[in-house]
Amino acid sequence: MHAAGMLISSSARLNRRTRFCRQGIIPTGRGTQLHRALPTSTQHTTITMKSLSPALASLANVFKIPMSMAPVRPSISRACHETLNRQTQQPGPVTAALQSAPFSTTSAMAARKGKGPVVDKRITLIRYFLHHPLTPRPLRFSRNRYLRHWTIHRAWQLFRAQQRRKHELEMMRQYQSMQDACEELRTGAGDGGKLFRVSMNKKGIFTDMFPIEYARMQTDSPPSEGWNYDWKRPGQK
Amino acid sequence: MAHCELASKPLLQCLRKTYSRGVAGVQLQTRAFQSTASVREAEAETPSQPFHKAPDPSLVTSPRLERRLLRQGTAPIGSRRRRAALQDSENIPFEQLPYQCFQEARKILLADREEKLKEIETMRQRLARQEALSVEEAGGAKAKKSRVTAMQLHLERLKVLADINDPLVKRKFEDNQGDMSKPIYRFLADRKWREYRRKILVQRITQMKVIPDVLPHCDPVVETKLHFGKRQVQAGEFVEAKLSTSAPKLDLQMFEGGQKLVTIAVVDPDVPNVEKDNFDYKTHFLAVNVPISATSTKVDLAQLLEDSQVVFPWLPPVAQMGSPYHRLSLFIMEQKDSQPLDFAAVKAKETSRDTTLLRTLQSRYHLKAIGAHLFRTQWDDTTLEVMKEIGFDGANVELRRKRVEPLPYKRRNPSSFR
Repeated sequence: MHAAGMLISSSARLNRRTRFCRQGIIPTGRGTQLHRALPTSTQHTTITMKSLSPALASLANVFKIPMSMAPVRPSISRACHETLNRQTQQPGPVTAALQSAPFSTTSAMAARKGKGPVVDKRITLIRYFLHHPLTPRPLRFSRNRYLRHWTIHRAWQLFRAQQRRKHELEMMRQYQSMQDACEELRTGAGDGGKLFRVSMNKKGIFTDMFPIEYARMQTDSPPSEGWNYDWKRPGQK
Repeated sequence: MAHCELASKPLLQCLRKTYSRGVAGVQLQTRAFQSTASVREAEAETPSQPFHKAPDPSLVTSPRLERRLLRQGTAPIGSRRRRAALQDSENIPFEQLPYQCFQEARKILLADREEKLKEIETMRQRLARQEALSVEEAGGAKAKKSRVTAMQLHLERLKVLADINDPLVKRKFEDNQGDMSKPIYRFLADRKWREYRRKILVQRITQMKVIPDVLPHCDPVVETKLHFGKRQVQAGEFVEAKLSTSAPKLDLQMFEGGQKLVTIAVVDPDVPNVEKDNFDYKTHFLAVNVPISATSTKVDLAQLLEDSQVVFPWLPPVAQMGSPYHRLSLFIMEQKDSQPLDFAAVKAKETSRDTTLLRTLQSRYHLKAIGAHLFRTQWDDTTLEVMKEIGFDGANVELRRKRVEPLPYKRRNPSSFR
């Protein structure tokens, strides 16, 4: 019973992954759809372009210029689908259970005698896309250029730090001048601090319009406990 | 004309136009960032010979000249395309390269540096004023001392901060051309050392238990490198007995300014003692009053002065056959207030290599461990030769582990099984 449950969960995981791929970042067949909308003359040019060079083709791919017959980089979803469905055999319940262990990247049964080396599908996919000729090369800088980049980066960080510091000092100055004003009101007004006490009274603030409890930080998601139906305004019975 | 020259021609032409317009006026006013000389100045000399006679490895492009250079033993520098581009370009110093964002960034950094220099100046004045105060005025010796120390620390920090954003400083440091008498390069070197090599060292001396065995505690602040002959020995490496017959050379890199007097000791905590069934200590080397500083780093243990520094000269380490490996731990100990120890007194007091414990020395002379290193030695093919050379008694002895009779319940086949 337990093993069967594990099997189901593992297959569900697989499904989720493929579903994610299907909604993936690169939509399937973008090139073909765009191509269909184009007039015939453009088609002709693209076909001649295709025969030019793979470098042009990759440039076209980067700048999203539609090329029907060009070697479009295969979409992630299709490659994922193929690789993931290329299972030699359905794993037994024990293997499935072991594979669903949260921190293992290889299956424990891989060490068994008689079976070939089991390569993780994810590694296959990463390697496929990393070494695909249309994958853009990694960003490399020459030494001087890297130093220039570093200089600019440092200057930007310094500038940000200076701005932050200025802002902090400004806030501090404002706070202190406010505090000084309050102190002056308390001691220098000559009414024994009555005016100060009255002005510091918080009565009626945030109770006349809407309660302060309603004010909360703007968040992306609703609160975890949802709506509190039992809440009453503090003054009410 | 080679391929690459053709290819780089239009690029060069357009670059040359930009340079001739923009840079000439900038030359003088943008020098200010660095007080040290510009990188490219050395190349300004005019060649007396024609180029094909003495080709420059950083400029040569034709394959024939390249081959000739290679035959002479100097490889051309960079790619051929790069060399071709360099041939026709003016040597614009890095800080004057006409990139707008870069120049704007440099303006910000320069302004910040000016500010830091001003801060350093005011801090120096404040420090001088504080030091000139008498103890009563400053409110006690302790308060004065703490204030002065804090100010000095802040001053050092400011000195580093003034230069840390300079790309030329970074480049020089990466090329290992940094001047260690300047605080910024010491800071960078220290940071680099602490990132990896110090961690390795600390791991080795703690995992091999040198730390509790020889000394109770050590926080290395001096980078130590050990060479036997030309070979550098990593911390904890096994060294052949033959190699370690002569005293090693040390490279002690300090990361603080000023000079220090240190005591250097090499201790072996693994000398087997058969009678006691235990291990003894042996001091293989001891020298006092060795001056080190951030710029003079080399210490040759064989070259130290016999009459004022070396208490015990180098004794080649050997491990008897069958004994477990010996850890030869080297400690750099700072003498208190960098005051020289009285050599004659030390020499008179420490007479035997076997009874001198490093812990005792540490407490007796108020030493503080600031650096450590470690190598190991074990029985190998050359040990016997070395033993004969130094007159080691017990060269023909092989040590064996005593057979320990297993406890009855741990025996493989006790009588109760039958």
